[in-house]
Amino acid sequence: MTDTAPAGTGTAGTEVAGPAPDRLDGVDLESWGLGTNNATGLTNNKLGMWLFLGSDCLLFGALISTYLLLRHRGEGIGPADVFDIPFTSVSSFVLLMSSMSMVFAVSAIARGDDQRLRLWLLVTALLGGTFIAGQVYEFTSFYREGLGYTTNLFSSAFYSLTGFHGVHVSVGIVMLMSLFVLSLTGRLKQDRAETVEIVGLYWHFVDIVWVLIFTIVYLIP
Amino acid sequence: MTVTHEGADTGYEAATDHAHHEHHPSDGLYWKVGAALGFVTLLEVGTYFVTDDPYSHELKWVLIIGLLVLMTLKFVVIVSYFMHVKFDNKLFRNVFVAGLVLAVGVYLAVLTSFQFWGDSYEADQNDETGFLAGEG
Repeated sequence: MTDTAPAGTGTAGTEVAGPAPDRLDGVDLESWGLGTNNATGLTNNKLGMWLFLGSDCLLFGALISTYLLLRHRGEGIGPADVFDIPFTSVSSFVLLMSSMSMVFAVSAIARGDDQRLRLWLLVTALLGGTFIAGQVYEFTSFYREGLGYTTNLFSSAFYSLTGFHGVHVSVGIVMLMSLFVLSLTGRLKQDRAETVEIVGLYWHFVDIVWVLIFTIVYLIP
Repeated sequence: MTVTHEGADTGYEAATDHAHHEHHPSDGLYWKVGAALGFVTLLEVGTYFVTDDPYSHELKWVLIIGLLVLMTLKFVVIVSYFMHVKFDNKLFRNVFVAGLVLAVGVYLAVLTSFQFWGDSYEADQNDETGFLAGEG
């Protein structure tokens, strides 16, 4: 056993003498989130995002199953009275296309193409903003038809589910715009491609949740 | 026990090997996947226009099962290609699938405990005395 400071980056169960290198073959490991990599050889940032997304499945699972249990309970306005399927279909398509523009942003930074990166980040954020604008319009029109948050159990479950999703999309837009500003100020280069990929994972997750909501809530009344 | 940097190098080599050799699809494939997803969405929306009231139609269960299949297809394609699960380390997939399977299992159990799948649940919807009847 040695008293030298362990680097903590060796294979599982071993200690390593001396500090671990923070650069290898010209790659800045810290900026890739690899500075604290473990025995798996995977980056902790990306693994952390996947863990978060796995746990977020439970949040949306709770909201969707609550909606299914409550949607026809109580009196008054129900799903069939307020849903505008053609309008929501367009919103869903917009969000789906934002997922595609996001993969182009990830692809652009992997190539080191900063201009395309900024273009696709902006397109993704605009498409996300369009989706949110559609949701605000939808909520407003429902409210004008008499469907408030506490009108009945259907309305509470519906607004909670779609509202939580809307908050996720809004947070995603903030992250996209942060990346856009970082890129504009020269602080988001090719060596930080994984940062964009991690934000992309979040954005795609928001999209797949809407794929479920659109079918289960809107199309199967 | 003193260990040289060989142990550490194994981890770093794996990491950098992963970073350098991770295979991502081309932009052309992304366009094709996007177009396929758009087409599937069109099919989904199309079911709404099959009849004036598709859910009173004799094909109700065909439509519902068809929509669930299309929804699952879109989900799998987005996760596989856009989220790179098909090309990335399997640990990421396993972490996500663990959460997904847990969520599906837990909430199917919840729905089952509320007798969501049977006719009795439908009948209960009109039960004004039920605790979920909508007084709140």
